Amino acid sequence: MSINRQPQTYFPMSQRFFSSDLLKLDCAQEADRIGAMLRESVFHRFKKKGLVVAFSGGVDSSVVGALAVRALGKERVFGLLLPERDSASETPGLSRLVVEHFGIQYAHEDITPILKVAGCYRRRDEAIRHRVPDYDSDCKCKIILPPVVDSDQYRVFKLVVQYPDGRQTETCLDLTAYLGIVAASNFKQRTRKMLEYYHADRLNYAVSGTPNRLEYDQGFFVKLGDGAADVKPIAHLYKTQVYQMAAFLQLPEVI
Amino acid sequence: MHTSAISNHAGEIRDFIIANFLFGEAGSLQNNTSFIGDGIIDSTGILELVMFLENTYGIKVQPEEMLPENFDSVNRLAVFLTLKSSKVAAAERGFRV
Repeated sequence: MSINRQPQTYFPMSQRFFSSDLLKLDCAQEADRIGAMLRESVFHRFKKKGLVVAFSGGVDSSVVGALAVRALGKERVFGLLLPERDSASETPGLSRLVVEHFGIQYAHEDITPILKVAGCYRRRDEAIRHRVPDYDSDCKCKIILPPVVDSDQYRVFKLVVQYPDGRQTETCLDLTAYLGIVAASNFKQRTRKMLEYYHADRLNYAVSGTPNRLEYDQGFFVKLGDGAADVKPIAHLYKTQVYQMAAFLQLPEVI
Repeated sequence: MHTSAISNHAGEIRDFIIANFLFGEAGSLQNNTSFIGDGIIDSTGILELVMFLENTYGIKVQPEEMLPENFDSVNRLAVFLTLKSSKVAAAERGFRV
């Protein structure tokens, strides 16, 4: 369940044209509205006792966590920290900072062993070697897209590889490599969701998703991975509005 | 000069599109139908088109050539392919002289 798509925004009569002011939120009112939705959904529709939230250390999951604590009480929110081998080095610290800021119970579960057994890394590396034959497990990589505003060309994913000696290469992904890398990488989000539901089931809690409006609208999530949830409290908010909520909810500045 | 080549390429491309994206049902596909506009091909499909061109015709499509004006219909693709193939052939002849 996602909240109704129209947040309560305020814009004066003098500004009835398209502008960034259209994104301004009455954060207090919106937080109350989201809170009411959470209580109605979690307690009354689902008959659950609380909410599981996975924290990445980013602003989206932090805002969801804050809204959940505000609506349900910190004793009814369970946090999950689910890093893996390729997670950014600052992720564990930031996500721990957030859950301790909220004062909620949480568990830290490194999903690297599960991913290794499932062959996530091996399959992804095999797909990469289809385009970069000398890629090995000592290399780092990321997938990028060119900016959308620079030209009319179709935006095709590129693979950036960093070798142990610091060299970097950039390669366009062909269909086989692209699909193989995405398929292998999707293990990560699906493994995280598996653990979220494990804890939700043992606690009789519901599971929250953390997509913002752009991610939700554009399908930027993994099906049955981070796309799966019982509630998605900020799926109607643009990123700009998520940051407004983060400030209103007084999240740590570093987030 | 390229008219018959363009026509031949258009036929081959059309057959590929019908077989791989329309699953044998040509429906209302015209040679000037917009692939993206009519929802025939998505972003992954563009990669599939590139793979088809490169594997079938031995050309290398550069990222800056992946433009709607080159890729977004049977006709546009046929013109792009014909011109690209001509350039490749001319370059190869130049090396042999």
